[in-house]
Amino acid sequence: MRRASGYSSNMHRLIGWLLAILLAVPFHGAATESITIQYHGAGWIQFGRIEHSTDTVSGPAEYNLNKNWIQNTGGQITAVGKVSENWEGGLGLGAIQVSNPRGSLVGAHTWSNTWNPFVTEARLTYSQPIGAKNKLQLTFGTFPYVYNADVKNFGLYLTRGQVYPGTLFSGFETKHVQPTAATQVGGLARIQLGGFQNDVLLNSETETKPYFDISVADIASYQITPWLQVGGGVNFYRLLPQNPDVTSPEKNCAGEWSENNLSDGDEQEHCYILDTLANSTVDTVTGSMSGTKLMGRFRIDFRTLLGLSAPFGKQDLIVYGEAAIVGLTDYPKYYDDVWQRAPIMVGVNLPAFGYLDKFCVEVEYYGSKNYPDYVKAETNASWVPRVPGSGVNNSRNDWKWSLYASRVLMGHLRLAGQVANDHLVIPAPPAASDPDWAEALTTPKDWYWMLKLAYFF
Amino acid sequence: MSSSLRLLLVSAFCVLSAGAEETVSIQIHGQGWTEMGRVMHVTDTLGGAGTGVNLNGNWLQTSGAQFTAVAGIGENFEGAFGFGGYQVYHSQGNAKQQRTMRSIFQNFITEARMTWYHGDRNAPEFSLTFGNFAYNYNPQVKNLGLYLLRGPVYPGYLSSGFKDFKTDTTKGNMLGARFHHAAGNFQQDLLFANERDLPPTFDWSVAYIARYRMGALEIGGGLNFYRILPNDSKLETVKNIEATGDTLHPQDTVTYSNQGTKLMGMFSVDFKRWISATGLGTHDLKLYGEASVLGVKDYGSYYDDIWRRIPVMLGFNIPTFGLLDYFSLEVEWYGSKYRNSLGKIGNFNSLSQPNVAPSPVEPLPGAPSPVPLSYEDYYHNYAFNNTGTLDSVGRLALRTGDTLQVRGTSWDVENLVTDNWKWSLYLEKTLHNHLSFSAQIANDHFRPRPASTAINEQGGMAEAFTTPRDWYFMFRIGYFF
Repeated sequence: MRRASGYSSNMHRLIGWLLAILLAVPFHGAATESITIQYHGAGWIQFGRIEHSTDTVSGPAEYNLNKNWIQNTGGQITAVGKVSENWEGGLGLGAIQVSNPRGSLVGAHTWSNTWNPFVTEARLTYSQPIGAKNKLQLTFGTFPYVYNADVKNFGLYLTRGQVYPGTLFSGFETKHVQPTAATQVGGLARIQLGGFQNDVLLNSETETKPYFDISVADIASYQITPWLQVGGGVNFYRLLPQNPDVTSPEKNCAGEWSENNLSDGDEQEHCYILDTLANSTVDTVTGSMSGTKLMGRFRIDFRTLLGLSAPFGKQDLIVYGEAAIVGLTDYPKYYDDVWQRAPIMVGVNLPAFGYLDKFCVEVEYYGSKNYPDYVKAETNASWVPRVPGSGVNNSRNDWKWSLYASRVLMGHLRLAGQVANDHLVIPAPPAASDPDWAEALTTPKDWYWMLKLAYFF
Repeated sequence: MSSSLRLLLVSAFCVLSAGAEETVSIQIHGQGWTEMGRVMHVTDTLGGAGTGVNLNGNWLQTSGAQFTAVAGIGENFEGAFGFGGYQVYHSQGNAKQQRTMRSIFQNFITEARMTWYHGDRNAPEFSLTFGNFAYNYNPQVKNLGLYLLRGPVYPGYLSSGFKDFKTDTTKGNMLGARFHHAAGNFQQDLLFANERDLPPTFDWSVAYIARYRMGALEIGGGLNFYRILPNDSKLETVKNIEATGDTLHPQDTVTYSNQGTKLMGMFSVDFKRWISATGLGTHDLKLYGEASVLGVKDYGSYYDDIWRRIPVMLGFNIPTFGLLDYFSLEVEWYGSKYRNSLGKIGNFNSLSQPNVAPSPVEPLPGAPSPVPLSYEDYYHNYAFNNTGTLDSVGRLALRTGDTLQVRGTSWDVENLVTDNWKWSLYLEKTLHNHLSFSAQIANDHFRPRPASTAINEQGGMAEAFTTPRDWYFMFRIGYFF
């Protein structure tokens, strides 16, 4: 039996938290200081349609997403206070009304809406200038974080998604690409020295199970010239698990299993891999949801490089890209080729000549051969990918694409739209208590579109 | 009766609200926080706290935010409303639960009130408040205490916890009306409180609290006619058949009621004002305490000793010389013999604790029961195929085939004395008037959220800690304005 090395120690986890707090406490300030509050808010309505979805049998019964309309509306408000010369606080709330997909005729009859409230941020930030242009910044609490602001759909592999299974997340203007809602709970230490910026990120997992594992990441970027920026990073994902036996289970985990939402899958490999060797013996391979991600990215501003000005817009002619290795450790059967765990994306801001603020096409390649249904990870915290049951279309589409456009009017109104074949995962009909975690778009023929009208201040 | 009272309140509100167009000044207040902690030790590993799981080593984490708008309307009126929410999680429990646990977002109203006042707006001589508002009669308390307005009377279960909403003056914890009067060092409050936390809901309680300051010493007291105006009187009482010890009449039917009267006395002494030490912080060297009688009436076999219905707490702000705002040690003694579980007060539609099936004789199964938790209730899923009795030496036969010694141990839910002492060490520091750091280590009345059922806003039913060895810690960073 092969066994992956797991990270451990709740004590280390506690020390991480305490260090974060102790770092913050010593900064004493004056007894009485005025505060300036800035309010930021946004409200939006968005709708779209899945024009084609090849997989019509996975998920709940008669779960056919073809021609399904998607719609939601939401609002949020955030108050950012400049507490002192060095300290800033941020807090806010928001909510989105999410409508289930209709799915089928049956689904349309039982269709319902839900409200998903969220914290936009609940953070403290300490900033200390270093000379005229450089600074140190420490953030604690719950806060948004985006290391690649160019990305509109794909990418952000280092801080989005799990390592094993190699989950990729994307979608239309999700909170991961819009730095207006919290994605991190923990701390961020940022140092900026000229064109060099380095972020050390400590994140307590709150998006995917098992909750409260702590990941530690280092993300750096360097503005080499006004037109060229490069960056890279490493994420020791779930480095300090809240319970190593859950994050890195042994093979005796059958009793910990819940069969919810897994009825049509092959459930023999709950939290281990059964690998049939050449001599027909079956090897049990244990592993971990912990793992290491590596990321590299670039950004080239051809408008600056070529000295172009009007009629080109500020965002025009920027080419950006990102690649990652989602998990350095090979495991047999499902994770035996590192190149199948290496997503890569490239985006180009097409010339819009000021008519649009952003008009970009993004293309992604991800050669994983595992079924793009993350229900085992999302409902049972399993590092093993799901194997589809009979009758399920398990073809997957290595190539993804997205065409995105947005325009701000009068400083506070924004129109945005997207046509894409991406990693869209949408809620299941009301009969299911969890979202269906299968990607909706599994072949090159699949696509959907979305439009959004937003007001912000 | 209750309908009339409601009509009266609405009418009073309308009359007070009528008038000419007034100028309005609005102040916005906000608060955001992220907190985490860990249950370091629990003795009850059966999951009897309503979680269904072993809580040892479980991590706790939430983040939340809230906004409140306070409007000054003319010279004598103030209105306030606000809302907030925070992320909560199932208890982690065992490995299976950690794989499947969920989180939800818990919303709440910070305030929804209208206040008429006479005198200084911040310290009025007289004021009337209607709606959903915050009220804390003993702001010294950080964790333990506040007995008069926290928790039921019969049975006298206590509540507390880190940053409990009842100790937070920015979150509405009372629905009803408050009549406040202050004259010099004397203050008094008359409260009409609508029960919305514990079934049977919508009953009205009437409470009176008075305080008097004499230099460094402040004393206070109050009484609470809990549920004096019931929404549905049929839900207030249950009949319970009990052994009498009399051979001719071996059994008697006792009628227990959710209604009852609480008494409370409290004090605080600021020793700083009696000594000439320098460098002490504003709150250093304050000693404070509170005691309460949870139900003045003795009756039945469960409530026959008033001394077991008197919780007492003492707190002391340890001097930190300005390093911290608060460094408070609180200790509590409460001689109640019964496991501190709300499981039988809950009903099947809202709060019912898993494994607990309240079964009073009448009026109907599932009614909120003032009878404390029994062996049968607590160990229903673990033992007792037919009957809820211990053997001659106080042992339980578990369905697993094991035998559990119950009598005389922390498992003895009908005669539990190992949880009589509680303690809490709390610290808090505010920087720049708007950044807050706080932490707590305690063995208190923390009720963890359930593990395997729906997460409800009240959390779990039973407190997690049953012996002196049990404890947990929490810390929080926050920003407020």
